[in-house]
Amino acid sequence: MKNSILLVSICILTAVCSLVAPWWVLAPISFSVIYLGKMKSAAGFGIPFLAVFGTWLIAIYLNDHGVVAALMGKLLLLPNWSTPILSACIGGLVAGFFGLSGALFSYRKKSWVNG
Amino acid sequence: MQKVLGILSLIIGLGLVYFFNNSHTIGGKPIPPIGKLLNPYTGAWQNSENSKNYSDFKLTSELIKEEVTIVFDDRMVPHIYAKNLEDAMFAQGYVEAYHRLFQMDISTRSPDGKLAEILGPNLVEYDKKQRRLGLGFAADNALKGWDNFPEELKNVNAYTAGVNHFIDNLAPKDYPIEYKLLDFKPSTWSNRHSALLLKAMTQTLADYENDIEMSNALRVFGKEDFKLIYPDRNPKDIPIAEGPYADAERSKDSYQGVVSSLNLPSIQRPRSPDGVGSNNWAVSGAKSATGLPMLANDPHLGLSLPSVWYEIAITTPEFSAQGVTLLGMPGIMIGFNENIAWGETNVGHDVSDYYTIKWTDKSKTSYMLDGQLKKADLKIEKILVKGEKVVYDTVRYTVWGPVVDDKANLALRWIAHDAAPTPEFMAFVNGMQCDNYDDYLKSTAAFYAPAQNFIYADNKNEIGIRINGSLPIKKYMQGVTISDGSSSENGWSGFIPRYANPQERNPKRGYVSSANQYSASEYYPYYYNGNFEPYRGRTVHKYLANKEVVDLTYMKAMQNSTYSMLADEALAVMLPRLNAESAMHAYAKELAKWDYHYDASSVAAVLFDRWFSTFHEMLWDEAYAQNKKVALPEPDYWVTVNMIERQRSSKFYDVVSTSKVESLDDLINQSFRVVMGLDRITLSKSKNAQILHLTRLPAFSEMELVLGGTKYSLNAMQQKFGPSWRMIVLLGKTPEAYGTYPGGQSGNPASPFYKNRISTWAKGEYDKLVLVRKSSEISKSLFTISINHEK
Repeated sequence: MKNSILLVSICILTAVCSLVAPWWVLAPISFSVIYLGKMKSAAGFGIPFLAVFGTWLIAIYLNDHGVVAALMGKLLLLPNWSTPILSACIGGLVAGFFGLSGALFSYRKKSWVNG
Repeated sequence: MQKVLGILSLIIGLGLVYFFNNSHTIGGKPIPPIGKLLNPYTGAWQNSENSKNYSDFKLTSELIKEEVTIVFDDRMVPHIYAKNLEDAMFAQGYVEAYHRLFQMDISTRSPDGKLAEILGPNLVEYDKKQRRLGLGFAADNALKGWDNFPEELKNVNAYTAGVNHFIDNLAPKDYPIEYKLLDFKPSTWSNRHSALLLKAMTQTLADYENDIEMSNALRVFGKEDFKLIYPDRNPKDIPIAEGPYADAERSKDSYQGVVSSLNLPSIQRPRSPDGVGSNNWAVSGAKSATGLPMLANDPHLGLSLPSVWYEIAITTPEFSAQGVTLLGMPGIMIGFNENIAWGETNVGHDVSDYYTIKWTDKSKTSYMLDGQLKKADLKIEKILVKGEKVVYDTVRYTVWGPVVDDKANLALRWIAHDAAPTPEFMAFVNGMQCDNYDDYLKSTAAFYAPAQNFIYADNKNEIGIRINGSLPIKKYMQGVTISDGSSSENGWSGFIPRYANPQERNPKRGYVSSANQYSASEYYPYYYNGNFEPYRGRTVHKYLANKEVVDLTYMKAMQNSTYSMLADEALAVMLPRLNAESAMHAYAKELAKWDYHYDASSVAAVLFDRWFSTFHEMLWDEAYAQNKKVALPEPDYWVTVNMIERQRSSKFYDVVSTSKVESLDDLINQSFRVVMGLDRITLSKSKNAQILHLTRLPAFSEMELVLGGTKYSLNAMQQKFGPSWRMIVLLGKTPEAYGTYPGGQSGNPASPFYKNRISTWAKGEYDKLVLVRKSSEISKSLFTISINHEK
């Protein structure tokens, strides 16, 4: 349940903030949400990765009708279908590493409080 | 440990953000800022365009006086409805930026020498060369001239305001995709940008010169052979305006100021490319199937995506016109209105000459002119380079113009540098509003450069053609070679008076035409040299003189004709001279059956091209063999054809490098042996025609087009040059017009209107161009923009 709430939070915050802020706004969002959620490392990476990957993929499919996918495919010498996935992976990776970082920092904090 | 891993993870995350947010060069290849480019909110995905999601929108501007409506028809052609001309020009600027902002930006950066700023260090040398040509200096001069015409300037001010209205309201997510790839922002448009575009056009069309090579040739061959290899004019040519002219007595031996004692390497610099040219013709009512004139025009330029041209219709209470415009300048350049049609082809006069400079000091700050010391003006050029340090260059300006190459010490006298007496674009702004020839002649009279053959036809049964542009008065041979720059007497002696510019009005033959051939006969009282097309002009005459009644189908067939008069004339001499063995070869039989048409599937066209070029190089081995030691101009193909038609023996038939003394027949047969070893290949495969995007990215380009044509046929399609706009107008009570170009209205590679017209154009088909007087009468529209005055 907590995982789902964090995942949806990152999705919504990324989608809303990206309308007014640079694309990398997903980095502080992922870090903050995971840090506050006090997740373990694997989930710290996985949840933001999946959230941003999904959000970007949906946003791409809402905007594009295969035209830019084909252009980017030609430009990057990749199959057309792969370019939305590649784009979403880029967002996901950045989110994942910042989420992981948030998780590792929050873990340290928890250990210190408990200890 | 967790802390260390947390920091490590943060560093990796920050590294990814940095990497994905910036451009890089990896292995010499530029990598765009992938995060910016591929994010779905502001990246390339936002540029996706779907014909179903166009919707009307409204704008306001304090700069327009009354409401303007722009209706985009089903071909994405904007029809501008304004209540006055200035508002119409504002709307023209807006729609051109709306569809082609990146193209307008890059097209002005090129002449201004500002490409390295966005494309990186590879473009520094190109930028330097452009700045040494003084194109920015030329644009500044143009602006000074325009300031003297405040009334006319209002139109360009309104156009500029329209462009900026679009730029100012552009959100980063809506930047054209190229800005996202190259990671830069659109900058504010100014009148100087329009002037730069005009100068870029002058560079493309009126910067033909091979003065250095001709100087070398004069020294290598001597006067007599020089005249034979590089003759003044083609005796077979049919000039644009035949005259009659009062023959001027001019010495053909003066050679005043001609420099022949140099052995200079060629200067590699941007200039008019080979392949630029155009056709236009107009037939009178007496020769037309409709009983009223018809006009055709097809400019041949370097083909690009987005297309060179932008189709537009402009209506005010005073006029309604449609046609194509060159992006960045107000008015319609080639088009028609309810009463008249007009178009242009390029004039090949040489208006760009090199002068030697004798410096008096090592730092090259002073030079000698008429025995006096003259100071050069030094201009420091600051070239911004993407990702690297600023580069500085010093350009020296002399009385002749800028010194384009410090090693060669040559200054360039070029028409583009002059401050034109009136703004050139007014020829198009005023021309599109005319309804009779006298007004049209007045409206276009002040056009300065690049000189054009302005053709005209109207529904009152008038046809005409006139060169509009400034043509220098030259002494015999002046400007063919480098000139001595130490004497001001070697400069141009002024300009041909405009009334004396070659022209024709309603000639008896029933048509006027031009295809970049000589402007006037050899009796024309002013000497001129330049680059003149030898076959297309005569082909137009052949087609029109032999046809009693010309109709639309015939006009279309002419524009799409791939007939080569060069092949026709050359093979008439070469084929009969093949020896018995060669004549029996399959390729010889194929050439004998050939109809001289460069169709896409033709094998004979490829065989002929190879045979003739091999033969030509063997014939002029005296020039080609020395080309490695000294830069010499290539003799023209027409010189070869004329020579083999008329001279059965010549010292030039001998191949210098062999001990045998070759004859014409020997050369023909030896060159044919090269052809016998060729594989069968079609013209389209050999030509590999392509239309490249301005960034040269294959993903945004159209590659491997199946097309016929040659530079010598009316359909002058070469690999990257060809008919950039084909238009035919049948004048009448209401005009009937047809047009096509290789591209689409939108500059967005992700738009369905980016290259949708290429297939129609490639097939030689046309769209019907319908002039609609009222916005409500456009039957099929995609969307409408309304611009209202904001108080």
